[in-house]
Amino acid sequence: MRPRRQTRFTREGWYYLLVFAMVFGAALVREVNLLMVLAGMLAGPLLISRFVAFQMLRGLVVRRRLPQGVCAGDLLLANVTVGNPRPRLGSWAVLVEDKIVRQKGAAATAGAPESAQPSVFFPYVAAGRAGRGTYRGRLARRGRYRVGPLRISTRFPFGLLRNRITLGGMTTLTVLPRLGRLTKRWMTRHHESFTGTRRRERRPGCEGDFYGLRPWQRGDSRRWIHWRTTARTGGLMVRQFEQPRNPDLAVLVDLWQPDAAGSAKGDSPIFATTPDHASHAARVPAKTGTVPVELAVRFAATVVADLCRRGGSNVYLGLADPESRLTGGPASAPLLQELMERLALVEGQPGDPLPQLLQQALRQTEPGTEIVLVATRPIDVADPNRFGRLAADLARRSALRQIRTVDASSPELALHFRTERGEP
Amino acid sequence: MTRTAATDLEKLLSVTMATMASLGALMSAMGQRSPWTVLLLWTAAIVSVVVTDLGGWFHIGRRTAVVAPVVIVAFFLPSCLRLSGEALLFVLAEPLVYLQIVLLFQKKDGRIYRCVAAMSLLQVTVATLLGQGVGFGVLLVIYMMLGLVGMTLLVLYRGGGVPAREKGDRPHLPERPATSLRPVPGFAQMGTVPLFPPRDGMPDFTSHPSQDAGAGVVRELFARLGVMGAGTLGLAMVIFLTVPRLGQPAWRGALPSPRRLVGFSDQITLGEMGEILESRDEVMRVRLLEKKSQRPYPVYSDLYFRGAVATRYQRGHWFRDPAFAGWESAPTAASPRQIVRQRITVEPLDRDELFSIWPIVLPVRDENVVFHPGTEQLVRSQAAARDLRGKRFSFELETAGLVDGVQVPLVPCQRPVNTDQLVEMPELPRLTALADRWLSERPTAARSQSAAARWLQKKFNSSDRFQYSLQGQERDTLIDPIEDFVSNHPRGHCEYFATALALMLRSQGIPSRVVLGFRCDEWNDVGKFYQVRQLHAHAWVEAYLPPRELPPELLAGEDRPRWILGGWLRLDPTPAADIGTAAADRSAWGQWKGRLHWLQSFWDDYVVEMDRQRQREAIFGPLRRAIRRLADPQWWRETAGRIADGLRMAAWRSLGGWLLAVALPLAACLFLLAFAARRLVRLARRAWRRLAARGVLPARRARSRVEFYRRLENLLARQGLVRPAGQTPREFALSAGVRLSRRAGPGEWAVWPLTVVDAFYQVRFGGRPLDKAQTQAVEHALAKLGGASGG
Repeated sequence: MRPRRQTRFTREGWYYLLVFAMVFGAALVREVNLLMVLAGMLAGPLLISRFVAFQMLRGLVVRRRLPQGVCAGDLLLANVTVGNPRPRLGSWAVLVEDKIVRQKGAAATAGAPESAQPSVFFPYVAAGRAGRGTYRGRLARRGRYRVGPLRISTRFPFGLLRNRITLGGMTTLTVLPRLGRLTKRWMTRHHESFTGTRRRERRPGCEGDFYGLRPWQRGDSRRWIHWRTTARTGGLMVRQFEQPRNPDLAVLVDLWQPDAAGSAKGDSPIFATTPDHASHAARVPAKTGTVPVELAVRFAATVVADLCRRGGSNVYLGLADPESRLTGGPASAPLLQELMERLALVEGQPGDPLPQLLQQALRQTEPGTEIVLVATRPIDVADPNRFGRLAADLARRSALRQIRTVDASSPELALHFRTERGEP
Repeated sequence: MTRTAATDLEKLLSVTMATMASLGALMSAMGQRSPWTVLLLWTAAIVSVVVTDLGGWFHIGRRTAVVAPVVIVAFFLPSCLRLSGEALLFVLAEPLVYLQIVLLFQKKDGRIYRCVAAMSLLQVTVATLLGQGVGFGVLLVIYMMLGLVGMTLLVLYRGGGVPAREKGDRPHLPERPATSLRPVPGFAQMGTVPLFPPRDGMPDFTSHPSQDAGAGVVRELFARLGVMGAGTLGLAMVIFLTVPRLGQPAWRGALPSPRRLVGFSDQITLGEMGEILESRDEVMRVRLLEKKSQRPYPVYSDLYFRGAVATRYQRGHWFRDPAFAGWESAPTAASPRQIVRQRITVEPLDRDELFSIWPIVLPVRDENVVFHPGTEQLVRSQAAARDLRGKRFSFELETAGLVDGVQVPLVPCQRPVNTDQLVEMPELPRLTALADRWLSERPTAARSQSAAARWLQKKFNSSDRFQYSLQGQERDTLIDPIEDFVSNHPRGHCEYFATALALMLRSQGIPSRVVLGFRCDEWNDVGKFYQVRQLHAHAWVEAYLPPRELPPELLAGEDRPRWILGGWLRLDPTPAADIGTAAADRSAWGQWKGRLHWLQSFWDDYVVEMDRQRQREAIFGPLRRAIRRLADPQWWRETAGRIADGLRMAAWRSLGGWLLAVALPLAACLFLLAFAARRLVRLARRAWRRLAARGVLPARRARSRVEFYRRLENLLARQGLVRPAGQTPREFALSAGVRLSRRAGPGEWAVWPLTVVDAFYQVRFGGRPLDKAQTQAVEHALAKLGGASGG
């Protein structure tokens, strides 16, 4: 991207220009020579500002480093480096501005902004050196954000002109759903519901299911080395195994939101994903709106994250959207990242693709896999009108009955899920 | 920025702003000539810096800050509405001081600092209207530098924040908690962490510059500001000198207009007590031009500009005798060779008399000037007196009084003179006795009237007893003041000397009179003119010489008709070294005072009173001449010849001369050439690079050979993979491959970067170009990586 330069008067610059014009005009009309001298002295900074502002930004190198991932409401810390490769001339009052624009994710809330403009101010970057700074803040809503372009500007030396260069540095940042805490009751029930089910035990001589390849790390067995890839890459690559010891789980999320296509008037702020608002939202029953949607997403994300951190099981996530796709596999960090990113981008929808999703989930998952259906409204899986085709299939009828449903619009959610501050 | 650096910056800013306010008040007080307001503001500035800014012990509250300015404005508003002109300016300057005091005692933020600066600037603007001296100019430059420093510190203080969003910059909002919702980048809100969730729904960010950045207040900053200040000053000068004036009289502030002519009078009154103060105010400028070529006429002597003539003396008073028969008109016949044009520019004066080198050649062609035969005076015409009073105006006359660069002492008499009236005098025995005594000492050869007159003049000029003085002298009131001068108190100014000589001449039967005008020795080399000031006012003597007393050669030649009625011999008995600019500079404060006076005169002439005419004379005229000269090959030849002669002369005189004349200019030229060459090479390289980037010109070979590696770096950079400085390209390719594999899963991700880097090594370090297969492999790898990175 070719840097774009822009020089404009600041508000003070316009005032200054006005004062200069008045002084100059009075000096000219009344032939007040001292006033003319003063006007000349006032004109100097205007012209010098133009020249110096260009000098200040010329050749500066700006870099920004963002974290790999961040949850909504967590502290986002971005490191910004401004390098000044010039041999003699330092730079003052350099402002690096970034732009964070939300592109996809949680539904918009009336009055809530869709963008933020963090900035870092560098009072002085010495010649031949680099200045380092950070900007930090919290993105309250999950979703995909476009970060950039970086803009570098200065009002040095006199604050009359702002010289700004728009650089490249465009990237995307996915803000994951904010996690909560599963209650003891949920954990106990989850454990009990699987007592007596098939458990995969570790067999001698077998490390588990093959998951993928990764670079060799200290402590890895030599037997795990994948020689063919090692020869190709020139570095030791080993096979990675997963050891399923916990029960498999499929989390199906139905974010039914009748007014999703329209405006979001009357909704709670998008910051309902945050601890305070979550607890507040849980106390106030909401039939529609973004609150149940966000609670459902948060709950699903927390369950998925819990399982992936524990490992030893297969985890699936299905979203009731037009695609109705079920993804999953052995619990692992990459899988968690993938599933969280899906949850980060999911939005409420007014349709009813849940039956298809359920059908697909029952078809793809192994028997014995627990299915948790997280919805934004009460769901009756025995409803023959909605799930008639599933109920007609005898093989799946029993599985259908074992599906656990969690209604995010119900206060009972608090029995399973708490926000960070606790009380639902 | 660390908190310490921020605090230091804030301290420096508050001190700078307080100093600016104090300086503005001082400049205003210089015009008002009132020390009270400036003392008040100085005290307030010092106290506010210590108590409010540094100590933080006291600041005025929000309500007071709102009410106090309203009260101040309400108090002064009636006066402002009632008055006008300079009086209004005086009144206007006062509330500005009080408003600044209110601001200084408020808790500071960016807005308050801006208000202080604006008020101070307003005060300086008012001060410029009050008519100021050279000291004001010096303070104005200092103020400008302070202003630049203040504005820069303010930029650093506010951290480049956007004003529209600068809510934290409001002065009277309640203190925000440590965790702020709306931070402003910069140190003022530095270190705050936003609450979550934001109360107003705005995702918010704070910034933290690096700890080692400091506040930017480093020595380099002040060096840069110094350069910028010099640039601003130069620019101000250029603007001031080149902006064309509209033709009005220059604003003179509170000074009276027209100016009072204090040095000159058409009468003489001796015996007055008190010191005569010399004023350096300008009276007129005289440019002498050759009539034919209009080139400057070179003059090698002091010039006498006649104003009025006094013929009758009565007990200490000289005045014009209306009954005097012999007032003459100016000569009309003169050799064209001897005529010099005098272009005279008169300042706005309160008198109608005009001054010129005598004798003038009639007719006077300038409609603004009238020659009055009855009084032998040049005066303004009625129209000029009505329309140009209080304005500077110019007129032109021709004179026959300059011959070969010298003002001739003897001018022809055009009308018969009643010599009886010019020898009348009261009984002055002591003066007569002194004249007799002096004349008795003359050589026997000098028996003519002209010789006697010149002898008496010489006696005064060389006398140790008679001293020139502007101090008031004690006089014996029982006798004629001139008797007292010649006998008891031989100290006095030019009028005493002129009176004494004139009466001595009369005592010897030589008709004489006293002439009042100006004697000028101040040549302005910049504008090529004589600058006549009030302190140049002078009185001298003219002695009438009948034809028989004139030199025989005057009566023998073609000019005999001009001299047939006799001539007037100019005699100046005042010691020459004691009058004029040189004497003024030597007196009292000595040379320093003289330099200061010169500076003040320069300031007045070329700054305060610069108008269209003066601008043409001093700026545009010389500029036009210089441009003409530059286009004149003859001038170049002459200049080159002069430089060559100068170099030849100076080169072998001494080592110092050689260094000065040859080595230093040569070194300077070489340095400039080297500098210019370096700049040219840089510019050429930059232009080449730009054109190469656009594809207009081929890129440099060394770069084109490793272009594919640069593409690899760019592609990997899009994935967030940047090679650290301590990593070789191969190590970087390996690590990048591993990272790409980890992200994208199994595949040949690790191979592609390595393929490109191997080729790069071969080209860059092996010096072997890629063959077709290798090139294809590299392109394939880059295409794969490009697809992965979305590029």
